[in-house]
Amino acid sequence: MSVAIDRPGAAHRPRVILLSSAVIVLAFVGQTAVLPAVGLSATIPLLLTSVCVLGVALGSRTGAVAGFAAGLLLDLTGSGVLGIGALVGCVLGASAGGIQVDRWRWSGLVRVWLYTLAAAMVMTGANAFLQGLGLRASGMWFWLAAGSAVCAAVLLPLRDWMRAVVR
Amino acid sequence: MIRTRNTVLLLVVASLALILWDLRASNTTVRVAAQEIAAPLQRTATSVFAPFGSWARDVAQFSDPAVRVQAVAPIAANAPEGWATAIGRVVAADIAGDRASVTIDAGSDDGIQVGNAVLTTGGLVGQVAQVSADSAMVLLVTDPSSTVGIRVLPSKEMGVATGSGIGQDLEVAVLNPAAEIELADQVVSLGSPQRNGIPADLPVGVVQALDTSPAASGRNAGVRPVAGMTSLETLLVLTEQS
Repeated sequence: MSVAIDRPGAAHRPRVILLSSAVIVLAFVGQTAVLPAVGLSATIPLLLTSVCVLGVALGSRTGAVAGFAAGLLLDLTGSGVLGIGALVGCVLGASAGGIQVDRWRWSGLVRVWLYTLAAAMVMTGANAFLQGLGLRASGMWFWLAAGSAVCAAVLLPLRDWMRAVVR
Repeated sequence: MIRTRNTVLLLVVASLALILWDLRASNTTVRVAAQEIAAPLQRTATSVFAPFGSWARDVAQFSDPAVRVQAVAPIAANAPEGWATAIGRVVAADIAGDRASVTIDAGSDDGIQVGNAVLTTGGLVGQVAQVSADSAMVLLVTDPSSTVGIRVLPSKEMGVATGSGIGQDLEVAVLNPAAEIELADQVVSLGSPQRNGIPADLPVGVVQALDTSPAASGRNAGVRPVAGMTSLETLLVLTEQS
């Protein structure tokens, strides 16, 4: 059964803003500071996966806004081109709102993983292209693929909790 | 549905405008402001998770100036004389694909400026690319956009070292096609005339591979950086020549 939250009055807007902001900040700090601190790669797309799950849980509109904000944060604090992350995050969040989910806990897991992986690859490729840098075969791709799968498996089951929080 | 479409369209247009703006103009001020907000959060998170990783194991005690000086002593021993220095701790890594940059918890308040050389045990690790009051972004020599003037020893041939991504050897282009370069030759920095740039003769790496077919434009070599790029903890910034 598909769940859409973009109906007027379906969610408490201040709670949506608070929850989305908290998730973005936590995921950003987790990806850029905590993962390297515990010996893991900062290329694991924790923030993009969080955006995707926010889109699944709260709908396309919230996903798009959250994705834009999250991507902009990555752009501003990283060495990529400003706007690439915002664009990719926005499209990812909006697309994630269309992922069909049902009562099964892991429903939509593969699509969340693939959407996130595709978004991370597009972001990396677009940055490399616009900055005139070539893409290379490196351990980064492993961390992207494996990391997004693990993040999706951990975060996707939180979608019901996210919906409950904003109502 | 229409509201959603309009919102997405608006955000896409805003993103495209940002991309164009960034490609056409400098936006350092905005990035520095963002870094000033993000760095304290990253520093706190690193401190909290210190017990779980070797990268930040002693961060909790690192606010003690004496501990900082002690931690940086092995690096300072190899630093050139006559330079003012600042000590920085890595608190965040860049996440943009195979880019290689880190954020340290020292900034312009400590005298750090854009272009300063950054050292770790063994030699040059990178150059300051962006500075805020209490943090700085260091572009590592392995970053694909990093270029450093070098000299190969003992032949003293000059060239340029370009990064190839984290974990990869540097690509060195030596200007002289007839340069006599051997495997295991030392590569050092060429040096900058600026008082706050990269000084000469800082160890950069060791020649690991040689292009066996010299081209008219020069010779190419693969150089392994002397400094480990994936396990950086404490860094020493050469702020200004006194």
